[in-house]
Amino acid sequence: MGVLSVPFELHSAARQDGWISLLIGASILPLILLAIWGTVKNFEGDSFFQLSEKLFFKWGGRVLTLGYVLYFVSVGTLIIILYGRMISLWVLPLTPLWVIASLMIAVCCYLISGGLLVMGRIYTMLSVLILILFGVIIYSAKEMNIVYLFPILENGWGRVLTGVNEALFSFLGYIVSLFIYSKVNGTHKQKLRVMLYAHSFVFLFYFIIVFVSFTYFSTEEITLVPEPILYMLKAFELPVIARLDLFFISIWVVNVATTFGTYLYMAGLGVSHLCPICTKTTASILVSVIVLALTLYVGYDMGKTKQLDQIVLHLGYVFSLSLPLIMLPLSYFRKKRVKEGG
Amino acid sequence: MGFLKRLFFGDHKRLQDRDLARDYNNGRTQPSSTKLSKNIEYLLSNFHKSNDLKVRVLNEGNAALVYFESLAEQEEVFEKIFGPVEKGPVDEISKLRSARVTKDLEEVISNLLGGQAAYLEDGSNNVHLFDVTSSYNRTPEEPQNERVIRGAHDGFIENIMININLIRKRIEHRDLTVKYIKIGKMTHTNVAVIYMHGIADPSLVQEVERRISCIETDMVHSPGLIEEYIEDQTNTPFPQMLHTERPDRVVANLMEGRVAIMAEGTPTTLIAPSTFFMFYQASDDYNMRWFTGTFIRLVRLFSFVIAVGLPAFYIAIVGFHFEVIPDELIIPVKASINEIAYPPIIEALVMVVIIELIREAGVRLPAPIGQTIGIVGGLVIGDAVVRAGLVSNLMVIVVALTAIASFVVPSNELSTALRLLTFPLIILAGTLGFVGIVFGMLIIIIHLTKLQSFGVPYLAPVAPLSFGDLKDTFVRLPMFMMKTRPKDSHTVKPDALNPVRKWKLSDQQGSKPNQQPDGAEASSQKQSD
Repeated sequence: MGVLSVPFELHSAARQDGWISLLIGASILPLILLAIWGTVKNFEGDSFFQLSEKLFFKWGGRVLTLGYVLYFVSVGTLIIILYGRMISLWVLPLTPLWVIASLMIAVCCYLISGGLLVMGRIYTMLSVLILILFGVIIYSAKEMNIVYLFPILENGWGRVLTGVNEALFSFLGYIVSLFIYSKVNGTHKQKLRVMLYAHSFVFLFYFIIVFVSFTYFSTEEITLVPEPILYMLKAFELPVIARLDLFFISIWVVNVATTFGTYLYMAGLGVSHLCPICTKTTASILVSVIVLALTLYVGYDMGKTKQLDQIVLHLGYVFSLSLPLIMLPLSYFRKKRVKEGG
Repeated sequence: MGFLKRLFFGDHKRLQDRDLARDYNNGRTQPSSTKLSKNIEYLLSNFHKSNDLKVRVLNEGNAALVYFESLAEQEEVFEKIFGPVEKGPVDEISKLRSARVTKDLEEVISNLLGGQAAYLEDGSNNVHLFDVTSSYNRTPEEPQNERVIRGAHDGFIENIMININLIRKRIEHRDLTVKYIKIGKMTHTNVAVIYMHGIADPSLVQEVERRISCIETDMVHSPGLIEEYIEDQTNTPFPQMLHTERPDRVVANLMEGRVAIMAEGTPTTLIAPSTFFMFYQASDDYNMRWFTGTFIRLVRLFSFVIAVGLPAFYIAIVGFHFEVIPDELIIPVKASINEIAYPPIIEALVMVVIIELIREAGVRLPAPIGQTIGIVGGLVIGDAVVRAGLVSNLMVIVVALTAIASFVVPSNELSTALRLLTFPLIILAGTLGFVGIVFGMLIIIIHLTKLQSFGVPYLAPVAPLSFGDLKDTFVRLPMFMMKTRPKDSHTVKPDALNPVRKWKLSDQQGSKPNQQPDGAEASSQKQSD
């Protein structure tokens, strides 16, 4: 999802040292993954919602679940808005947002209606497309200029650390593991390994993209191109296809669908837990209607989008970074208490 | 002696239970009377005095032979009943050994319907039944829609016994199991469920039998009906059971642990569970060298993409993304569509509909007229439509390619499904360009992934990914590598073959032929290529 914008955001935070920020961010993250793993491991077989009710008592857990639902809804809305803007900028300038947004939301509803198993199968199949993205990007590696990365640390560690902040947010998807951990078969060790593999794959992908776009465009140029990869691909012309960027963005739409589908699924899970009448289907339909309404409310308005971005950023701090770290010691404490009580 | 007698009767009873004809009396019985006229009266009234029920009075009115002249063979009647009596060894029909004796008139009725002749005598309530069935069968010719270049050239016919015979001849093994189920309250169609015991998953067999026996209907006349009654998901264009008329194909699938369903009166056999990629396998693949087999398999799968996506792709490019075309091509493309009055989406829909019209018109016509339709439709209309400026040159090429690609699929059902899917994709591409195509394809993929055939995921070796089974999916690897049966059939016996190229192994080891029965398996793969 962040493929198109991450290089630009890293660059605006840390200039040409953005890739160092990415490296640092990626190496911090396994700690949070370990925290999540440690927490859920302590509550064998409990879903996340049961777990949070055990950690923060019944109502605390419910509030937490509601918080997560709101967080996922806002992330989902942001995804849809960014995707809508990208499509209207690059592919379909005249198509209204509601068409693009509702189509995407409807397809994602269909996607998640099959449950986690079917989603997993589809994601596995669609991951072949990432290989195509890889191929396209590696094709462009012939134009690389390593010189553009120098001078390293020109702006000092301060800028790099602000970049780390940006970098962390490109990896936010790992929160999925907190929600589906109990629904997946396998030993704890296997699951941890899968989580770490997944993280390293995402890191590798982002790293290649950031590296390629930082070396293709010079530092001055990147400030002008918000989607460096697309601008880069636009310049290439193959004998059969003139515009690689259009194909890239088409494949990227599939990635958006899988990302948004995951958030929709998690939000739907939360809603169906909170409201006992809702089935999973009605819950996810409810969530998608809310997302659609929010999307249309924000629209292409830059100010509102910026606000939403800030909200998601702050919620991200709370729900993706801090809470797993808080829950880990709490879970050990609670587990002991439960054991003594029993 | 009583014990022996019980044993004998017990066996006798069991034998009768296995007789197909008894199943459809719904438990009704009617003991036969010792009065001949009463028995005949009962039979006649139950058949509503149908005119083809023949009653031949014998022994000066003391006995009668009853049969349907439309079902029985006159020659058989003579050969089996009158012949032996005339020629000598027996002097009464009731003493013929070949007869089956019953005292139940309902059983007589069902046997008469099965083409048997009943001999009734005054003063005895024993009814003697003789099998004089006539059947008119065509020869097991190669099916028209599944021709092969090399390999077996026989096919199923409309008689289920001959069909099962064709299978039994190919699998001479005690584990080949046939289960009959009668469905259709009126038609009493005989349906056979065939599987390999010990290879097929017992729960799968049970599920197939359960679904078939749940069918409650008056009539089953085609495999399409049975398929629709027992398939998992009816709201989908994709067939979830493979149709075939080739015995070798059925046998290969049975040996993979699948279940075949046959019905009386139709040569088409259903195979369950089926996966999407099975529809792209043809018998020819296995008779070719594996290089060519793989190549042709890939061509076929590529045809799926063309058949579903090519018109949509063309429309998206022409309508939305002209910049995708390389510079040199822009002028010819633009020149060809500039003169056309209609937008590309209308052009495409019209052409696709015309192709369907030509196809549908040609299908049921006798061959010479069908060819004329093809020439008139394809050549004359195609040419005229371009000259008249209604449709562009390129569009004709695109649509013709699509039509050809859709016929490449070896299965007729899937080919129809693909042609149907072109329409929504054309509309999506005409309204949203590439984005529309991406969404359309995404929906198709999600749909295919969600589909199941008898509990087996429809896209089986790809989603869920089972790397080993890809050996017979996109490619057709050499036979010696197909050591395990595909996982999607849930087979209970995964190993399919021992090292088949063991000779090579023993050649290389010189003087030790056949020394390694099992250990050779692992190494044969490496060494034999």
